[in-house]
Amino acid sequence: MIMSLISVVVLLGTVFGLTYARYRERPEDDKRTYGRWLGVKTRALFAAGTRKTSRKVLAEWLEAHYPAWTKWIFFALLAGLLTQALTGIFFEIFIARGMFGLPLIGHMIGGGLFAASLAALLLWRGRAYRLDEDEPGLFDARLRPLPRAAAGAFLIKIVFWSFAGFGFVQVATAVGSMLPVFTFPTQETLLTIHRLSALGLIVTAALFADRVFVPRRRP
Amino acid sequence: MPVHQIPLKDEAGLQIIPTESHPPPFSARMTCAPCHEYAAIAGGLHFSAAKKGALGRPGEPWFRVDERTGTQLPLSYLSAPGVWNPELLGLTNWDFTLLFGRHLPGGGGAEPPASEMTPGSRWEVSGKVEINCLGCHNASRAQNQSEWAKQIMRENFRWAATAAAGLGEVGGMASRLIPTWDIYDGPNPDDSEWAIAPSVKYNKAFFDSKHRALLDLAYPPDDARCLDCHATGPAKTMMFDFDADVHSAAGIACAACHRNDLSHNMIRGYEGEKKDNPSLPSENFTCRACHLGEAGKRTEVLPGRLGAPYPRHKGIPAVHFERLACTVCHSGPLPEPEPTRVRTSRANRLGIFGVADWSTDLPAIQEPVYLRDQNGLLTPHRLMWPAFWARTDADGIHPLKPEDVQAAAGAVLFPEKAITRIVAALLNVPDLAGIPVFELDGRIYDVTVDGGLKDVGKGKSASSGWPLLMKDGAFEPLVPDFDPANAETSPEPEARIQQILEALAQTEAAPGPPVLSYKGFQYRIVDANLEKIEKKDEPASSPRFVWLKAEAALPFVADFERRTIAALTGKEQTLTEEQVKLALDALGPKDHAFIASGRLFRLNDKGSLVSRSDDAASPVAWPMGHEVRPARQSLGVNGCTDCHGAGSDFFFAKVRAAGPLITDAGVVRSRVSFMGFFKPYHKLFGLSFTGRPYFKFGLLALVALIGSILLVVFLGALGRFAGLTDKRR
Repeated sequence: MIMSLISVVVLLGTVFGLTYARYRERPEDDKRTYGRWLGVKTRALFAAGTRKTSRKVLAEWLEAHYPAWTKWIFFALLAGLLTQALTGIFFEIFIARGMFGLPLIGHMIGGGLFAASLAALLLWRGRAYRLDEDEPGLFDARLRPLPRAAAGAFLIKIVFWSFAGFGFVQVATAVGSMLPVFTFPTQETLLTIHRLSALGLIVTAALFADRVFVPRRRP
Repeated sequence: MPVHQIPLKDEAGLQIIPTESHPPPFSARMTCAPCHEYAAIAGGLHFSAAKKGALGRPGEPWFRVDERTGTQLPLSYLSAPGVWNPELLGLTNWDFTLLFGRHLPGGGGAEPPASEMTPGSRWEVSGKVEINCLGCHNASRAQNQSEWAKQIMRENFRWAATAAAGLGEVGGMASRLIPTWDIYDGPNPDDSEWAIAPSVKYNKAFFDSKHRALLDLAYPPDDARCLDCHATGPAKTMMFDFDADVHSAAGIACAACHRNDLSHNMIRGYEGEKKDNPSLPSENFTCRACHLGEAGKRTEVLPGRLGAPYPRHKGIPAVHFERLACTVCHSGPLPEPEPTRVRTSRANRLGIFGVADWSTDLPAIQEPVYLRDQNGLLTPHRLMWPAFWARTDADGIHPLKPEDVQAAAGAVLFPEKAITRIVAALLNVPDLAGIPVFELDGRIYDVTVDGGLKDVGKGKSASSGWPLLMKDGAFEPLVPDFDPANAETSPEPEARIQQILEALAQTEAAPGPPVLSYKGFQYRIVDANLEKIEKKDEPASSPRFVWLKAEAALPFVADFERRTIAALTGKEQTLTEEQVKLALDALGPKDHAFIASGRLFRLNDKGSLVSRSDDAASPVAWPMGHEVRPARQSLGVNGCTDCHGAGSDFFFAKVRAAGPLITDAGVVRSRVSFMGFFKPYHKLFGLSFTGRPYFKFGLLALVALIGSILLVVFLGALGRFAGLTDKRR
């Protein structure tokens, strides 16, 4: 019950946080309230050109970041993530008994796909999210606010590695609870960690998508 | 526990003087009551079985078993699915006590007030079955459940406790006394052989000079006393190979968990018992409470009670602890391709010994079958498919008493009597050189002490049907080999033939006089003399006996009996479909049916036996707690495939509707169907375990790979943020 509440709060909080940040970036002459603004933007999601634009943005991004066959790594990760997120969230919030049966098998298979594609992603694309020398060290004099553009890129890297970290915890806790190693209370703890890190994974994925795919207004 | 050196008292509350000539039996109500409140105890679990809804989750019902009619009918005063109220069968307290008193602890319906005594009962003669305190609390090895059962069957109700405790020797049978006899009438001076009044001859070694008895009592009761009525054992396992419950093996007594106070309202120890019986701290005595300490989660429990080890359950997914009772993995026989047939004390009369074999194959109880309990948890159950004859009408199905069925069906249910009567008659032949047996259709049958048949060997002729003699394990003809045409050698064998025919003529219910055909001659008794007629058309080389009825020769054993005996001998089943058809004909084919093997059998308009499913034919089941196996024999200890697999016995064992009828129409169900699961899903789910080890190995490798990359990234970032990387440069 508590986990269900936490899940709802975190998911709604993420949606609110991301949309409200966008709302605050609206032009100064836009006097709409947040609710009205959100309504307009939501309707725009279903507008005729949105799908075409989205596909174009995604294709261009993939072309730039995942050339040739490597785009399948991205698609596999996306499929694994969506399977995990949809089955996980649905059963966490709506089914008191929790996940069972065929959805559980699907969740496990999706988990395997997610783990494999995450490993491949880190091998093929990890370097792209390397932390540059321009970024600050903790103890030197360069600890200062980064330029806005550099801060955005830095945030994406942090989000990327956070996503990878949560993904690691997801896979590790799942495997851990399958092995004849841990006791029942430990397994329960692993399961709780699995659920919490799943929320972290979804939040970081949403943050990443927001930062990478949705164009931002120039200041 | 104080020493109980106390005066024994009779029903009137008077002290028993064991040295007097006809001392009465002791009364627990009067002997124990001065210190222990009988009325409070009488409301206890064991004595209040007739109180509807008093006992919580279903327990083992009583079984009205009659092998002859193929009846195995579950009875209980408590309402539960599949059980019948004894009152619906017309069973009074008296009938119930006679049937099941062998394993009743007394009290309740066995000790009825005058207002509940029904006509036809003989409580005044037999006395009531008072609560038998010593039946549980006697620590003496002289306590004898078989003696108790014997005295109950003799209707010596008020004497049974004295005899079973070994306090004295009880003779006589109340069942043979006239209905007006009273205990104060004393011995029957007119009959010292048959209708002997019950009497007690006390063992004076138990008494001191003040006539106080030294009783060796135990609080709580010894396990042996509990097991007198609550033992269960696999039907086909030798006793030496059967392991006791792991708790018992560790020295934990039954009553260490199944506790009670003076109310004798005992803790049964199942999950959720607190809801059924709030007055007991039962939440402290479940498996989870002692071993995990999480019975009610929000209640105070005392984990580790009696040294209960904490189970680590390594690698068992949490869902198992949410959906399964502990006993699924830890209790009863390990799953095999078919459930294990077991026998229980109360159902199959285990533990009662005497000259005859008291234990019975029926009812056919199987375990474990996994069903959901009242908490929705999958729980191992014992299961039995009912079998009984019934009258059917618009109101439903009404079971018949086996006695009524026997009376209506008659000889149809007694095919072996065609042989046993002949063998019994042959025992009257003087100077028999062996035991008479019967050769029928190539098999040789001996008669057992219970009046049944036992296959003891192979005969010489596939179409035989005559008696033989068994001597030293070999079989020889009843009539010695001789030449009837030779007048010099035949007189002696013919004298033997005369003795045999005279004995056979006394056969009960014989259709006519016996006749022997042998080597072209026919012998029969005419006016007490042996008549010998030459019959050239009957050149029987071996002696052939027939009954002569209206000058027609009838075989000793008719075709129906031949078929039935061949089909039933040596099997636990007691009925064939042909018998059912004939019995239904006799009962009334329009409104009678036989329920067995999970089906309802009845005759259609053409007189053929047909079967269909019916709720009344559904199995009755009750949860089982024991025998708990050691942890190393638990399910799952060898991994997931102990239960999960495409051919898993746990899920897919075949549960056959065992019962008294030989039929191909019997129900066969997969274990998974009792669990309420979708079989194809669990087949698929089980199949997935073939690849799971590789899947886990793959995931582990991926965890290692992802973890390594993250570690490198983390260390790199840490070095950069800490400035260590710059310093190195």
